Amino acid sequence: MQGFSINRSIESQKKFVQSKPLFSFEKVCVNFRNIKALRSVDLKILEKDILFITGASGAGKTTLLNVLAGFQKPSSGRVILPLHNKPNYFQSCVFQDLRLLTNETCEENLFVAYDPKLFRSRNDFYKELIEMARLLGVYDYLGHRIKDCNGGLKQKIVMMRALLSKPNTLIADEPTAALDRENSYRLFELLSYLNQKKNLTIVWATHNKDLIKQFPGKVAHLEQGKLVYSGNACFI
Amino acid sequence: MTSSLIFKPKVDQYIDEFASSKSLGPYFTLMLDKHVSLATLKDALINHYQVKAIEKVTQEQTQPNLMRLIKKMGGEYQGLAEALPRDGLKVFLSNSASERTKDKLLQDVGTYLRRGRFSTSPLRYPDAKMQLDKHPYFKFFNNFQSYGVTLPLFLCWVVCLCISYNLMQRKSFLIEMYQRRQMVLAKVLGAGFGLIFVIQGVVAYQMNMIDMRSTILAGIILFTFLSLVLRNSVWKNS
Repeated sequence: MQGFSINRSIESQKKFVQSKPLFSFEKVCVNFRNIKALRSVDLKILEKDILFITGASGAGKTTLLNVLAGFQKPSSGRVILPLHNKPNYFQSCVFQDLRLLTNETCEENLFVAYDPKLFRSRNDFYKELIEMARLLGVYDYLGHRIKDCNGGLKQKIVMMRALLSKPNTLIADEPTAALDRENSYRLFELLSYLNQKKNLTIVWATHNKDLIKQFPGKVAHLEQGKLVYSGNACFI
Repeated sequence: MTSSLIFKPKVDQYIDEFASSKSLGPYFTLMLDKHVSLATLKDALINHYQVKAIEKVTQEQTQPNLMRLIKKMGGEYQGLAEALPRDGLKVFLSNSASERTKDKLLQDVGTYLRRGRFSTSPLRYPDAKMQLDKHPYFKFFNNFQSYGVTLPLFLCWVVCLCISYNLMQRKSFLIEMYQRRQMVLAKVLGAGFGLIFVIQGVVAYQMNMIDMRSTILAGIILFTFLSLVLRNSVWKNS
């Protein structure tokens, strides 16, 4: 497994050379009144990257993701998004507070991602939904209402919803917080596969160091709003 | 109103049912000259068991018809206008009434009529339009004109919107997030307002009541509302 990881790391290093920048942060600061959530962050995220954003609670991970997703404008500095205006580019977000329709079933929540521009019919979408549900072990719970589901199941549904929208970039804020080790790995295996085969760029805020070691990509480590490390995960 | 495009089949059916029921009953008009006391005659008639209601027909109502009639008849009848009775009563009878009932009724009140000249119309059955105009449902539409359709529709729409706004906002947010769509809520609300705007236009056109001032005002309201909501949705926790 270790050898596999190193090979993957070398592969991703090769990719860095070929990929175009997807996001560029230039001295980005975000202030909320007296609180400095981000302090002069310089960061470049390339196409097909897997970037883990790490840091303690309140370090500015969610703020960084919000700036990436376009929900938060920087107080100063510049965010360059060269691909964002292209018609085929699409990014999906996984929120910390999940944002599910609690009175509806898991399946109904997943159908929110059904875009007729991407699928020939609802049936095609449903086939893909079932395939992913089997892979993540949620098939038996598709008819359950969200309010009756446990935290882990909800997080899987949220991830599935984001992936079914077929994004170019996935921005996820601690999506494995309520998942056990096995489920987290299973989920990230799927994401790694999509990264390799479908060129999915992944920006992932997490506390899970095991996951970072197991699936190396790049790491951006934040401390009190400052980016203290940005580079390959195998050197952390 | 009855020719409205949207409700026409229903209204036609309603007219048929309503007219056949003859709920107001047949009526005849009794024209009298000044020698007959209208008030006394009215009191005598209203107590009759076959009489349901009495309406006074004033000189202002009869004069135009009378003049038109005399004009048609020719110049030699011009002098007749002065001699003809001017005031009158419209007497509504019970549903089972016939011409014989009318004759019997006139015999019963004969003592009041003997002093002056009078003439009566044949017994008529009220037409559907007149009956409908007296019905509270159509009275409402007559009072509010084309707004009678759109105002209740608009109010229903606003109530539904208030009830489901939070859910709509959340669903729109999710659709914008996970599908390649923009400003979903604004488009949905715009379509709703637009539909009401179009319905109002069609109904007003059908009734020949297109009012440019109201149209411009509605357009301004629509435009202002849309410019306020024309942005991507936000997620609000309940």
